[in-house]
Amino acid sequence: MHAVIGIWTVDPAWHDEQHRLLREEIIPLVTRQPGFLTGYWMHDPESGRSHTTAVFDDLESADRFKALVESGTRQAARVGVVSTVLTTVDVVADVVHPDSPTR
Amino acid sequence: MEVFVGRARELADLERRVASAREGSGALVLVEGEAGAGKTALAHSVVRLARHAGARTVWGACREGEGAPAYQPWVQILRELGHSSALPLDPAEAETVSRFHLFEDVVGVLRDAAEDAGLVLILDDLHWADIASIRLLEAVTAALADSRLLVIGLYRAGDALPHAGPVEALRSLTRERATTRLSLGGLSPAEVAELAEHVLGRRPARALLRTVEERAEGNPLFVLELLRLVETAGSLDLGLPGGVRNVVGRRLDGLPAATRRLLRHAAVLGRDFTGEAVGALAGESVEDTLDLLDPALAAEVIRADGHSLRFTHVLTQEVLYAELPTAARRRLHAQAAGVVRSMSAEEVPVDALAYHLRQSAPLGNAEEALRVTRAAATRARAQLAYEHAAFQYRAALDLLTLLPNGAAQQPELLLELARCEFRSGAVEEAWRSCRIAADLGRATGEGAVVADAATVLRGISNSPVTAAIHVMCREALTLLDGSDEVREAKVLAQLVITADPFAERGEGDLGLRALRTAEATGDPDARFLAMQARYTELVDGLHVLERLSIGERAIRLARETGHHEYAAWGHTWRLDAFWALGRRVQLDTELKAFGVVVAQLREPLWWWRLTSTQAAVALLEGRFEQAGGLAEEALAIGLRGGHEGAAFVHLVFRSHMGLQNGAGLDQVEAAVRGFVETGPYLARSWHALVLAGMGRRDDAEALWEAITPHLAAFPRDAPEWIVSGAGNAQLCVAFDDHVTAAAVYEALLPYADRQVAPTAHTPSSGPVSLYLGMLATLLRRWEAAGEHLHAALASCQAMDAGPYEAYTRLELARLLRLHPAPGAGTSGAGAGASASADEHLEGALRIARRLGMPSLLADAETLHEARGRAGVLTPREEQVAELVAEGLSNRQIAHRLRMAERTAENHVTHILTKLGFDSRAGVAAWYTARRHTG
Repeated sequence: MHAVIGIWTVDPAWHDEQHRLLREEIIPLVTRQPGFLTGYWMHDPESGRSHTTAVFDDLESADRFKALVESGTRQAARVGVVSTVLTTVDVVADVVHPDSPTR
Repeated sequence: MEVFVGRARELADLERRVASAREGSGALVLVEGEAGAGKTALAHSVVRLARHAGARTVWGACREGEGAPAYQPWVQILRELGHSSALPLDPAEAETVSRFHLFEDVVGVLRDAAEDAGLVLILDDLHWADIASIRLLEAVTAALADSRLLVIGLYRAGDALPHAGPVEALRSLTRERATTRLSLGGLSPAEVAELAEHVLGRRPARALLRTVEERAEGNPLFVLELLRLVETAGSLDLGLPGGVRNVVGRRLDGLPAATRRLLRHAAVLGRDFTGEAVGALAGESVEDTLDLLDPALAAEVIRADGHSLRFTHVLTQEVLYAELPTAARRRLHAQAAGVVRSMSAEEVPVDALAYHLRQSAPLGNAEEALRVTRAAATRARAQLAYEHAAFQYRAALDLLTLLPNGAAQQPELLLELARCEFRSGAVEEAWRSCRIAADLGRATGEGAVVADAATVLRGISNSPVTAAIHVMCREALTLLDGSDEVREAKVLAQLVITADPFAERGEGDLGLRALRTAEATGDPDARFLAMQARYTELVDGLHVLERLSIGERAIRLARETGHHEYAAWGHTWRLDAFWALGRRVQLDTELKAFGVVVAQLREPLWWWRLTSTQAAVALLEGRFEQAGGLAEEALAIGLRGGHEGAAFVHLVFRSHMGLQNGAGLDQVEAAVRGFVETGPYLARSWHALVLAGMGRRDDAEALWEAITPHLAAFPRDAPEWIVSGAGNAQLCVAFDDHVTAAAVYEALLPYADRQVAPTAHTPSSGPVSLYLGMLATLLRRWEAAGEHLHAALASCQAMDAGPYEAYTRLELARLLRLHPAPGAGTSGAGAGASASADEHLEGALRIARRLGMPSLLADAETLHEARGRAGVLTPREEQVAELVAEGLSNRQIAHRLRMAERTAENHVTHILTKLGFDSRAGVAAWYTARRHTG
């Protein structure tokens, strides 16, 4: 498995629009990506940065997704979101609690 | 008929050079002499000799006055060689082709053309050349030594020339190794006599000869003109005019008035003209014109060269032109503009047209003069002839006073001028133009003008104008007030790039703001500038991942725009990040990709960076000889490319190498001293390190004591901070400075997993953990010291950093000597620790011997020798000896080690006996010395 990790600076002035886009466009788009397994969109209120993780079956799917994200930097910047780190990494282990509803 | 006498020495010299060039040792010969000294005649003789020897010869002449296009002599030469396309005329192409690239292509064409039988190029009248042509000559000269190419440049010296620029620019050429200067002085009396005999067809009377000799001072043209005057007038009764111009003028008096009038018209057109053009200008038919010019041809005032005519000597044209009153000149130039336009079959010679229009602009056609001058500027810029474009923009600016709305166009023209000046390397001039434009923008409240003025100069991070650009950026932002996103993004980025790296940053994340704004506009230039700015903000060593990401984005932008330079920067940033992270495999991969881009760019700045990076890698591995060679190579490339930082980086290399292999430390010390005297105050710790490396401990210590109170002032986010921290760590250890060591240790700790290597094109000082280990040892934080040094060892091995592996092993041996592993004293564990110390010491010695590191070898040998004495003390005695060295009394030692005073006294007695000292001072001195050597 491979994951695309992103760290993003987020301008809070665009909060509502960012969340609308996340719900209505980004999550459905990511879900449709070939090889997609799971994704997390996280926010660190202390630093004001967002962290994202999208896990894929294979490296090719992860890289393809990363390229897709890279092609959207202009749209992201228009709603105050700029990537500071975007990289593809190997997933070396993963675990889900046996009682987790996502299992 | 051309008359050529004398100059036997010069001719023989040039003949030898033709022969050498044909054998593969090319050269540039600059022939200087006053007007009429016979430069061209000499060159014609060389051409005949060269042709006779089988070499190819091509002639390129610079045209006088302002109507000449850029690269004119080279265009002629390349056309003659069948390569007119080597100089691009397409503006779109100029955007992606660099001038270095362009010049290299021309050099390639010339070298190829010279390959078979040798090639002699004559560049006539170089004092009229556009500066871009001289820059191209510089590029050609740099490649002459191993070519079959002989370039002979002729230029006028001594006369007051209207434009000193070309002659000034030629001066730098005389410093090239392949350049020789030949100065043509006056002819000897015998040569004057020979010349006179040629001209008159008989031996001249002695009185005449003497008068001519005295008047002409050996100037061949002057001699010729005087003799012709005598021939025409029959005697010298007229009295001889003074000065060659007057002689020329007097000889023209002998021509019919109508011929002279026509010649004046011709002088407006230039040195070369056609019968048709003069006829059109004078309102005569071509036949009548040619008939009227016949006496001038007969008197050799002009010459026919195929279809065109040419003034035999430029002085004749100058004299005739000067005879025209201003109003008549303007009128004739206005007519000449019409003639030039109507007679151009295909492409209008825009420079000549612009020249005639400018000369006649006061008559009311300033608007058109401005339009055509701008077109000439655009064309020159498209040819990357930035100096020539700048000249045209200056001429355009001069025209504005003649236009009712001229002032409105001034800022835009000034900014265009500034861009050309900057690209030609004239930074100060460019900044002056920017400042004037900004003043105008400020006065009219045009934020866009101030913003553009603030962003013309790029990459200016360490120059006298940096701070002024920074201030202008702030002003521009206020004036823009969010009205123009692209400009705002660029100005924000420039604001970050020009911030003082030694000042604390007040506003965080300005680069991020620039990046966000730039990304939202999609403008590639703004995006790249913002990436540069963001990178500048992140060079503190703590944001390596983000720097890797920015590098990747720049590479992507390069793919999107086809702009190789963005990719080169992207790879550079990633190389720097991997260098700092100590990731060898990734570093090698990135270096390979960078090499591919550099080969595409073929620019000296990038070759310099690539070669410097290769030198840094070689140095890291301890390949000193190769590193030295590459560093020298990089310096030569950097200097050739006019890169100001090349000499400094080279000094850093020399300093690193000197401290490791002992080479040239005296010269390094002098150079470093010179740098720190004018550089930032805290750079003095570098000087202290070099002094310590030379064994000048007292000088180094005095310097160290002077700077330690100010160490905290070194800004943490400056890229040099880690380098400075590592240097300070070494000085703390060298001078047993515990207080500073504690502060330096804390400051370096966040960088424990990094390398002391801010940029990949400068030498690495190995892993930060090595310095942390040294400091922890000094501070007796034994466990931490062990961890840092083992981490350093692993890092050095992963990076293949032989010299730093040796330093680390030496420090490990030292640590294990000072503080054997826990449980030491009991036979087993103590013996194990000792063996490990020996192993590290042996390892250090082996590497030092293999790589040739004399100072490390000496330290390791001293440590090796010291082990005899050290081994005799028990661990408890070691502890007591340490406290004796601190100057503690027996009672204080007993208190510190929680033992009876008597026991402490016994330990001290045993120590004295074992070590063979008769005083506590001896123990203290031994212990302190051992700490320095291990």
